[in-house]
Amino acid sequence: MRLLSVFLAIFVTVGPMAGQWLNYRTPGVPRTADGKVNLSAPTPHAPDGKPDLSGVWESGDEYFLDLAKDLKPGELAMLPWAKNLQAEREGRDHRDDPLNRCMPPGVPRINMTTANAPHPLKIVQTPTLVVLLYETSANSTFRQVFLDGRAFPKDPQPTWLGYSIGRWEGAALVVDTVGFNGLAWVDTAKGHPQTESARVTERFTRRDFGHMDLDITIDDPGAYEKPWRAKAPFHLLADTDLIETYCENEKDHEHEK
Amino acid sequence: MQKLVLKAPKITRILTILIAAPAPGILHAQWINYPTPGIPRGPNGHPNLTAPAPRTPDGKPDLSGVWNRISPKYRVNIAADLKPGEVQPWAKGLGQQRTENFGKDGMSALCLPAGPAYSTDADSTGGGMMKIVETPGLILILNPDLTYRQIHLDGRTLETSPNPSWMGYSVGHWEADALVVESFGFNDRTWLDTSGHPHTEALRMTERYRRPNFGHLDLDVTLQDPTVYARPWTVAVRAELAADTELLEYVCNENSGDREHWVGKASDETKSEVQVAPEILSKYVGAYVEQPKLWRVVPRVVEITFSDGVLFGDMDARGKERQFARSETSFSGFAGLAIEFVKNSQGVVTDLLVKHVSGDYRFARQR
Repeated sequence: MRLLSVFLAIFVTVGPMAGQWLNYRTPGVPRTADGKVNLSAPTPHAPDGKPDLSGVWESGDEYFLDLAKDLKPGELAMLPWAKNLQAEREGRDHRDDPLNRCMPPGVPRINMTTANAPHPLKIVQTPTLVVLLYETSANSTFRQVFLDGRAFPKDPQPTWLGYSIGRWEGAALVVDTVGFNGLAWVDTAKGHPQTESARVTERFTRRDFGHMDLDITIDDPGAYEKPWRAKAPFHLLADTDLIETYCENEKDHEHEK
Repeated sequence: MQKLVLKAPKITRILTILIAAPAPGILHAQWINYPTPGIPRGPNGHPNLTAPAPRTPDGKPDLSGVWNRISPKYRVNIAADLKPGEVQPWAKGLGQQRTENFGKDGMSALCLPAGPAYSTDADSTGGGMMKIVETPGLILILNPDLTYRQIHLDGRTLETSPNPSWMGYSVGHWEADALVVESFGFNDRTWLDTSGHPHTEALRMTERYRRPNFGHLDLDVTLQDPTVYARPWTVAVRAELAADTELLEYVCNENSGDREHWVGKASDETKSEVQVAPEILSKYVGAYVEQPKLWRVVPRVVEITFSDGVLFGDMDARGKERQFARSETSFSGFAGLAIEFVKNSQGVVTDLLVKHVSGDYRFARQR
C-alpha cells in the first residue's frame, strides 16, 4: 500500500526505535499490588484543583488516516471545491501530503496516530499554560495552549499549528485554535482540507487515570457546509517517554511523483 | 536558473540566508504586545526588569519566561577562550573546511536541530530566543523552530549508553538558586557554533542557570569532549527577558529550497582583492560601536587593526578576521558580510557600515 510505504520510509529514516528512558518507572503513579500502573484509578488533579491531564497519551488507531471514519452520512458535508480536492488527494494516495515534506501535521491531525506510525503526545500542564509535546511522523514539535486569559491575536500570521487558547469547562480542557495557514490536511488517507478560516475546538476529558477522550469540532466555513465533530479515545502510556523524531528525507519527496 | 557569479555581493547574499534564517520568529511575532500577566511593572506600565526574581510555589527560583540569549562571541566561535593547541588539529581543520563552504552543511541550512548549540547560539537578530516552562518535575525549553528539550527533575539519572539524538537527554537538579542541567547522548552531527567546531558522541554538557533578577538570566555552559578538546571549558551566556511577547512558529523546511544556490568558497574573496595603499588602510584602525544597537542586545563592536600591511576586523571579540579590499573603502571578510568605511567632509573616517541583505548597519567610531 502506497500510503504505508511513505510512512515507513520516514519512520525508518528517522530511526527512533531505540529511544531512552522508555522503561523508566514514573514516580507518583497509582499502581496495583503487582506494581503495574493502575489505569482505572481515579483521574488525578493538579494543585489548583483542575483535572491533571499530564502524561504520555496515544490515540486510538486510524483517526490519523480518516478523522471522519465514525461519522454517519450527512454529518460531514464538504463544499464542492473541497470535495474535489479531497477526492484528488485520496486518488493520488496522499503523495501531495505536506507531511511528506517534513511539515508539521496540522491540527487536529497532530494528535492522532496510526499503527504504522505510532506517535504519542505528551501533555505538560501548568495553571496558565498547557504544552503539548509531539513526536509526529515528521519532526518532534510542540504546541502551546494559553490559559492566562488572553484573546486570540488580531490578524495573526498564518501558521501550520495555529494559535491556541484554552479554558476549563467542568472536567474538560477546551482548546480553541485559529490562525491556520490553510495548507495542513485534517487527516492522511482522506486528505480532508483545511482553510485559513478554520476554527478547531478540542475538548480533552480524562475519564480515569489511564483513559482520555478527545472531542473535536471543526468549524471551517471555507471548506465545509457546517461544523462537524469527531471523537477519538486515548490511552495512557505509562512509564515511558516520547522518542525524538527528525525528518531528513524531505529531499526525497520529488521521487514520490 | 540563475547562475551565481563569485563576487562579493553574491557571497554576501548567500551568507545572509544563513545569518537571517532564525529571524522570522521575531519579525512577525504574534501576541507580540500582549502584556504577560505576573510581570512586575513600573508606574509607566513597563516591565520592571530589576525586580526580584520570582519563585514557584515550591520555593524554587522560577525561570519561566521568554528569553533572548546574548552570546555574540561564542555563537561564532565556541572555542574563543581555548588556546590553539587545545583543539585537535582534525577538528580545527573540519571547522575551517565548513567555514570555507559557507556553512552550507550547517544545521540551519539542512533544517535539522542545532543540538547543544541551542544553549550557546544567539545572534543580534533574535535567533537566540527560547521559552522556559518550569514545573516541579520537568522543565521544558521551547524554541521558535519548534524543537524542544525536556529537562527531567524527577530524580532519574542519565543513561550510560543512550541512543544518540539531536537534542540529547537532560536531567536537572537545584544547587541553592542555580538550576544545574546535565546532558549527554548527543549525536556527532551537530556543530557547536556557526564556524563549525565539531564534537563527538562523548560530548557532555553542563549548564548552570541563575536568575539574578526578574529580567536577567545567567547561563554558564561547560562543554566536555576530551578526544576533541584538551580540557572542559565554560562559556558565559547572558539572556534578557523578552517581556510581553511570544514565540512564533518557524518551519525551516518551508524555506529549504535555496540550498542548491549556495555555491562558492570563502577563499574566493582573496581572488578579487584590490591593492590599497598602507597609509590609507592604517587610517581605518579603531573601535566602532553599533548605533543604535540592534534588537535588545548589547551593541556590537568592531575593532579594526592593521599589521604587516594587512587590515583585520574583530567583531565582538570573536577573533581577528582578515579584510579583503574591494575598493579603497569597501572590504569583505566577516563570513561574507561586507563593510564600508565612511569619511566626513574633512576626510576623517567617522563610521563603519556593516552591509547585510536586510540593510546597512552603522557603527560609530569611538577612537
